[in-house]
Amino acid sequence: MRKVNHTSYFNIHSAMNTSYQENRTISYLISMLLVTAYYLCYLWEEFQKGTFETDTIPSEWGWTVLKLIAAQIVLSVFASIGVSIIYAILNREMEKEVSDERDKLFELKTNQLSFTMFGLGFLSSMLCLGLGTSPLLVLNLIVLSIFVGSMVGYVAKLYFYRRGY
Amino acid sequence: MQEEMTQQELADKVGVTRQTIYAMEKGKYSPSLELAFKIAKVFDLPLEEVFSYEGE
Repeated sequence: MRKVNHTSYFNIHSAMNTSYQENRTISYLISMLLVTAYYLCYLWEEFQKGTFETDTIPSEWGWTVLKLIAAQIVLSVFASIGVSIIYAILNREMEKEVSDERDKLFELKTNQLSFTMFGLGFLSSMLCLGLGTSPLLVLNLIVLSIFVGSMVGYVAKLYFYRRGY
Repeated sequence: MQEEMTQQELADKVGVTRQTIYAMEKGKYSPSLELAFKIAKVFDLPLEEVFSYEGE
C-alpha cells in the first residue's frame, strides 16, 4: 500500500468536518427516509381498507409511485439547499463542490450495494408472485426494494466517508 | 527548512478534497498513479520520496 510520507511536507489537521459529499448524502438520506415513511403509512392505510385483495393493479398506483418519486426529488433538492445553508452558517464559508477519485470509488461501491439490495428485493417479489401473492402487493414490494436499496446505499456511503476509505 | 503546506492548499492544487488528502496521510486510501504523480509534482520531488510502499 502506498502511503504519504507527510512528516515534512504537510500540516496535519486531524479535525474532520463533514464534507460537501457527506452533507449531500445526509440530505438525500433524510429525504428518502421521509418519502419512505410516508409511503409505508399510505400502504398501511390501503392495506387496512383491503385494497390489496385484488388480482389487478389499478392505474392510479402508477401515478402514486410517480408522485412519490417526484416528491423525493423535490425534497432532496430542498434538503440539499438547507444543509448547504446550515454548513455555510456554521463554518462561515461556502462548501466546495469537488468530486474526486475517492468520491467516485465510494459512488461505485454504494451503487453496487444498492443494486444488490434491489436485486434481492426483486427476487423476493417474484417469489411472492409465484406463491400467489396479490400483484398489487408485489408491485409495492418492488417499489419498496428500490427505496430500501437507495437508503442502504446512502448509509453505506456515509460509513465509507466516516471510515475514510 | 521545508515550506509547510496545509491539506486544503495541497487538495486545491491537485484537484481533490481535503478529506482525500487526510485519508492518504492516515494511510487509509491509496491514490491513483495520476494523483500520486500530481502530488509529487507539487512538491517537486520524485514519487518515491513522497510515497512509500508498506507490505501487507
